[in-house]
Amino acid sequence: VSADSLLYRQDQLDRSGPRRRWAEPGRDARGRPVDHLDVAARLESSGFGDLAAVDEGSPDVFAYAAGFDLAPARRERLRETPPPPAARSAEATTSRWAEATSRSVLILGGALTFSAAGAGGGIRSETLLVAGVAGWVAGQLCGAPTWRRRGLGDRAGAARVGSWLAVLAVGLAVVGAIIGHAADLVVSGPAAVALADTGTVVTWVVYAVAAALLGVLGNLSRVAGVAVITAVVGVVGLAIAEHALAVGAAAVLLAMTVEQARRAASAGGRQGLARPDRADVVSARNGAGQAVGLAACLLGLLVLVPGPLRAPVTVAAMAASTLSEPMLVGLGAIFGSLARRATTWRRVRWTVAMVTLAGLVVLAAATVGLALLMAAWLVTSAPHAQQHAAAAAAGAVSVVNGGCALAQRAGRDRAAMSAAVGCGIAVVVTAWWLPSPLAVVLMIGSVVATMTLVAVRAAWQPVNW
Amino acid sequence: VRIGLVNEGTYPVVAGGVSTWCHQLVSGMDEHEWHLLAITGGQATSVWPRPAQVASTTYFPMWGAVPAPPVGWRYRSRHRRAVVAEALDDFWRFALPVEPFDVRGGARLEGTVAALWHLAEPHDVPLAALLAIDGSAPAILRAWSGHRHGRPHLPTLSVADATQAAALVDRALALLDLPWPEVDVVHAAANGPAALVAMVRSWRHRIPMVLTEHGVYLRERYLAMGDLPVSWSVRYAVLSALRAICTLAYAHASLVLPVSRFNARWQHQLGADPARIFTIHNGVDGTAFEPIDDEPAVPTISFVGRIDPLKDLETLVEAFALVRPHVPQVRLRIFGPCPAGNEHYRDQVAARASRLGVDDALTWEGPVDGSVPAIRAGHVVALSSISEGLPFTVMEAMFCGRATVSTDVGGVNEVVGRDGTSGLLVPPRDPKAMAGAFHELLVDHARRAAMGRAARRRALDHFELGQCIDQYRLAYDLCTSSSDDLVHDLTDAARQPGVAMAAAGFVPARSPAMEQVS
Repeated sequence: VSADSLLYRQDQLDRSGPRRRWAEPGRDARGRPVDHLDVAARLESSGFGDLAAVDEGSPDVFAYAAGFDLAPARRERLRETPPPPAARSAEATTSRWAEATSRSVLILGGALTFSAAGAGGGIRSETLLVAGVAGWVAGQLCGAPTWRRRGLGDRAGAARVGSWLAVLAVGLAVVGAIIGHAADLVVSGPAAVALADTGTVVTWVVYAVAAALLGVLGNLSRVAGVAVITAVVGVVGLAIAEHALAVGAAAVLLAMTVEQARRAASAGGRQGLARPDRADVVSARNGAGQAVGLAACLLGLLVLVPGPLRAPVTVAAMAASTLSEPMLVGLGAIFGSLARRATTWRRVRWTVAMVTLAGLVVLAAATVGLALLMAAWLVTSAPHAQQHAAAAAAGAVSVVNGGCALAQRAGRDRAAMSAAVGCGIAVVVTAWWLPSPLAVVLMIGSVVATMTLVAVRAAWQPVNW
Repeated sequence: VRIGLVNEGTYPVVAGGVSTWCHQLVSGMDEHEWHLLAITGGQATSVWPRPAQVASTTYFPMWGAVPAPPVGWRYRSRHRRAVVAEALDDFWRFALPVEPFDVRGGARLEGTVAALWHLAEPHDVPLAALLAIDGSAPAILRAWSGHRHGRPHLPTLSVADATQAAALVDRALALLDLPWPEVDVVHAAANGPAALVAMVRSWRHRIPMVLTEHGVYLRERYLAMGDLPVSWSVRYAVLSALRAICTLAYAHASLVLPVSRFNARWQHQLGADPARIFTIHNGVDGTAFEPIDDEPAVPTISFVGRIDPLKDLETLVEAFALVRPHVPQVRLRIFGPCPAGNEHYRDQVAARASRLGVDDALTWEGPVDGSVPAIRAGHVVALSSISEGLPFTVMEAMFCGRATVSTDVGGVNEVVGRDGTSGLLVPPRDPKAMAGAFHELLVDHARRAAMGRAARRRALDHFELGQCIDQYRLAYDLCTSSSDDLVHDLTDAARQPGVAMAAAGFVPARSPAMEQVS
């Protein structure tokens, strides 16, 4: 008897009498049995026991099952029996691309809106810098544990923990901004400017936190819709440079995030954790630590770059952050495809390493190219040496950012944080105390090499395939 | 005696089923000191009151987060990683052998014992952390390559398949080096991961191991894996590994204590020595099931259980339709919940009843609190399942003195007996036979009453909770009274290939009580 009868001959069996109706409709979803014990288990579970086997001339169900030929009649049949991973995988990959792109556009649109608002509203560049760093850290503080919980399938817990941390982050931002600008007010500046600065920092933190939570908790269509609207608002904002636009964008996003978080938290009933646990705190620490390290890295590199070229490097850093999300999805798709086709461990590992290196090189090339274009557009007469410095800084920022994102997404967030903090310290020390060309070259080389190694080691983890 | 009771996903983190059995066992033996080991999906909270004799409860979150390795682990675990890699190679070569798999293959069993022994060696870098790095995937690929020789029908195994299989199996292997209190006897309440943990403890501390299975672990995994969205090759690899673990546990256990002889068939098939298999049926607290003397006003057949295709309610409805022309007032009352996803099946059965013209006499009663109301509601209690282990509903009906008609599947015949005095057995999926049995009992009050009395007598004689506990008590006594004879020096066995392993020569002395239940 062919094992195919378990899968494809139910109608015939159903017509052959009550005793033979052992092939339960729907059981074919289980696919081809792997061995004779599997056949016996299926037979018994569908009512074909020892008595039925005796009727069929076998001493028991095990002997009857042993009569099944498990070899496939045709190789095509064997390919049919596993569940169709290819279709699901393609669908999932498309969804991941859309999700990653939406998240990128969300951040990019927000950055454009706030930059425009800053330019139009007379906000000082230092304030914008502080707001950017505070938003970065706050976003990671909330996003990392929320992402971790969502990865564990605890969507309700993710919403609750994310909400707690969001309140904490915004609270800290409010207190920090008030203290910072109160001190600033004593030393210099009119009260109106200080107030506007405070508002900018808090508004940007609110936006960053909301974007991080919505990017993790929101469904794809909602995130994509918000991302498109934010991008449009950002572009319009660039044209009209209106501060109220940024506040409005943050308020709308906050309202949508609160509504989404409330819905996600209540969907899990009362099963989710009300407060963050230790693992959430560790995850938040790693996320925030990584953001602090990366911010230090960027600030240190900006110190090393001549003043007029800082804007292009900042834009390049922003671009690297935006591009790394789709890059991760692309690498994931390549790794997955490779692992499904390859049959040797060594080949997959080395190919994964090479593809990761190639991904980082492409990311670096894209951001360096963008930085150089911006430099050529904004700074018409920069010497070659200065342009090289800007290019090196942009490349280093992109590799550090991309490597960190890859390691974090691979679940190695502690390694990502350690590497980011190490790189940040190296860059800051070099920028302020050892700004010699040789030290800078060595520092950039070591930072790039370290982060590349971290990224490759993270990509080597089989769980990412 | 200090007893370590190891279970997976049951006691004390969930209620009902095997957890009830565990609680009865622990509560019923206050002369022993109990150490509970719960392998869980992540839960670490007891839902049962803790009996005073429970000295400790250790939770092993099998599917929890992998512990982060300590600082400097890469340098400190260089040698350990090499040992683990070699042990994984050995383990998978046994699970996926070049030659045909033999459940009683002594040489390969020794190799697996050695592999698991090395994996279980204590080290300051947890095995779970090491397995999370590469895990079994490279070993699976190497073993598969050898296994394919002579099996041309096997497809190739991709790296993604191997990684997926490793992710499923390594979670069980990662339990091997977890610390837990010292005990004198280790009792695994299931095969698979629970038995793996128990086996390693048994080897390391040279203590006897007892294995109880309520369902046959491997049989259930065969069925459950079929529903997972994984490829055939992944299922093949994972089930091969589980088969290797299960056969090893059957070979090693000092006593294998299935809850039904139906399960014992599988255990014997998977290599358990028949001389060490003793069936101990589950017990029911008889005080909760007093005899029910009154009967409903109209002839009624009652069914209690969840609405599920395995209960084959279509056959029950067909049998009901066949008996109705002969007993016109007869009614069929179906008690029990309809689990999510089975609504379509309930509709299908209802449509069948409608087509047969009996829907006016059939009622869906829904969930009930305990089985007594459902048992009380029928002149006859029916069980139409096509697959069963040891059904509690039939036992409880017998305690209540009700006549039963059941399909002869699983361990049902062990509950009601084959002589027809304590209950009638009919073949599965045979409405005519079932209708005949219903008719016989519904029209003959004297026969029904005599069967009810015989059923209660049989239940009290064989399925009283106290008796069940006494048999386990005896099993522990057997193990501990001559423990030096029970367990071989497995340390040496693991290190010297060729040495007989896993108490292979041990045959425990049989007591009359054991003879009676086996």
